[in-house]
Parts: sequence; C-alpha cells; structure tokens
Amino acid sequence: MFKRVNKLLIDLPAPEYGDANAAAAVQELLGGKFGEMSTLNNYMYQSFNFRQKHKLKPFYDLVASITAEEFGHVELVSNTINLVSKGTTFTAPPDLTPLSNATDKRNTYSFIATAQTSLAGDSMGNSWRGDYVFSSGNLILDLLHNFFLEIGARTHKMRVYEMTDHPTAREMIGYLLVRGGVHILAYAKAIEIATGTDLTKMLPIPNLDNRVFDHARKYEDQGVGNVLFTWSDNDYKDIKQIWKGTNPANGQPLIVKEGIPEDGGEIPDLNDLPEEFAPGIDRDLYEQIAKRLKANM
Amino acid sequence: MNSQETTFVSNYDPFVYQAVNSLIGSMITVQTTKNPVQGMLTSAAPDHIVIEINKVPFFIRTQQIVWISPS
Repeated sequence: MFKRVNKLLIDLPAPEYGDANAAAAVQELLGGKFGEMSTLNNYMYQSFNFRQKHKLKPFYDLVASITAEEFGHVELVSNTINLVSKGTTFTAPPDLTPLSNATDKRNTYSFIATAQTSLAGDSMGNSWRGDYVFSSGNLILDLLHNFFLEIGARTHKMRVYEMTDHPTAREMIGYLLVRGGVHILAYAKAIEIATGTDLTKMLPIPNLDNRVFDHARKYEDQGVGNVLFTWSDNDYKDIKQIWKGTNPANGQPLIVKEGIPEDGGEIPDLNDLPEEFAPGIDRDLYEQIAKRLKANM
Repeated sequence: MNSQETTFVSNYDPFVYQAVNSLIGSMITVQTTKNPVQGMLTSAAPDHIVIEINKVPFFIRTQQIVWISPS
C-alpha cells in the first residue's frame, strides 16, 4: 500500500509569467513513452508481478522503492506543467473570446480539456498508454529494460531543457536529471550483481555530465546524486545490498537513507480561472458551501 | 574612413500614450503580440507601460501592444 505526503520533492519557482508551448513540451516528460508515468508504471507493475520476492529481495526492494519515488516525480512534473501553463488567457465574459490566444498554442487539450493543467499524455497530446509498461517476469531482462528506460528518460529531459529556459521547467529538469542519474546507476549496479557485467563503464549516455546543466549543478553539489531512499518507514531496506560502493561520476560513497527526503517543497496552489469555469465556485456558492461544511448534518 | 554618427530613433504612438494615461491605477488587459497580460496599470511612458501582476511589474513595449481593454 501507499502512504501520501502533501509535499513536493523540491520547491518549484513560480514566476508570474508562463509559456504554454513550453508546458506542452514538458508534457513529454510526464506522459511520453519515456516520461514519469512510464517509469512509475513500469516499476509498479514489475514490483506487483515479481516472482520469488523473498529469494531475490534486494532486487524486489529496489524496484518497489523506486516506484514510490517515481510517483513523486509524476507529481513534480505535473505541478511544473501547471505553473508553466499560465499567461495565455485573460479573465472576461465568454463573448469577449478570453481564450482566443489558445488557438495558437500547441496543446489545445490544455485549454479545452484540463483548464490549463497537466494532461495524462505526451508533448503531442497522445494519451499515455499501458503498452509502455514492460514487465516480462525475467529479472535481468526487466532490469536491462529499466536501465534503458532511465537513459532514454534522461536524454529526453536534456532535450526539453534545451527547448525552454522557463525557470520552473529548468528547476524540475535539473533535479530530475540528477535523480534519473541515480536510477540509471542503481539499475546498472543491480545488473552487475545479477550478472557480473559492469555497465557503469558505458555511463553517462549521452556522454554529457549533469554538471553541464546550470540547474542540475546545485543538486550534484548537495550530493543528491549519491543517495537512494527506501521511501518506506520500515521496508525495502535491502536496497543497501545493491546501492553500495562509490558513485563512478564523482568518486563519493553511495548512501541509502531510510524513509523519504527530510525537506521538500510546498505544493503550489493555483489561482481560479473564471474564463475556464475552474474551479467554478463563485463567492455566493462558496458561502453556501462553507455554511453546509460547518453545519451538523 | 568616414565616421558615421549613430542616431537612435524611438517611435511612439502619441494617442495610445494619451489614452493609456487615463487608465493608470486601474485593472487592464493588454493583448501583446505574444500573450495577453492582465493586471494593474501602474505607469505609462511614451514607449512602454508597466503592469503589475501580484505586485510583480511587467514592462511592456508599446510597439508590442495589439489592444488594451479596461477589465
């Protein structure tokens, strides 16, 4: 089962300007084939479907614990899209065409379907699909797939970083480049333990250090790239049998921390958008609702 | 070699400037060539206006304005 904490993994900057087309590009990192919904669901189903969990517990613990982190990444990318989406429409009665600028934006679903928030789809508006999940049941094949998936995800993040300089998008990508690097290394180490093959000699792919990216550098300096969390109060501790030794990128020791990251960011709140009828609760209705909430019914 | 004198020319729309001055201190919507901007008009100069959104100023070049509406 899952326990939820009402915090983001990091604080996201929330400037008063947005870029709807940048938000559309960021959608690829959420609902694209290599997006966070794919990493989440791949590890989630692989952990559900894992055979001989007891015998192969460190590998089960790895896939199961990273599942929880990926849930937080889905949350982080979604909130980024919501913050980057502002600034295309204005508040006015419908006959003044307040959404007129939306016809020139790439993702019209954002304006028609989701009231300028995240969509469970990719940068071209395609739905995220269940067939992005690979769960073969063969441990080494699944680990190899996960290694590949994380490398693809990192590549896509690097490219979206190059597409937009919006501060919210870059902060999120800077952090996720570092965490993605952790997951690549974690699966490489798992494959090494399972097969004796050292995949870290291939890394990084593409051959570009996270430190090249301004917004990733501070997370590298903080050592965010050396830590793997259990994301659980009591379980999944055997990841320490895989996450051990040193980080080949910086020579620093790898650390397992039990639980979840101590700090984290506020969940952003979103202004109402009367032109989208969202949330569609005007002052009069809100007062009636407040009265009913307080009443003994 | 001839030395050339550089002159800077700033075009401005005098009647837009005049009209916008009557809206200072009020909430307005400005459609720019890129995006609409909605907030409080705090000042106007011959070549730009300043709109505050949640107390954050945005300086908008008059030449990039398509229309302005009090809102």
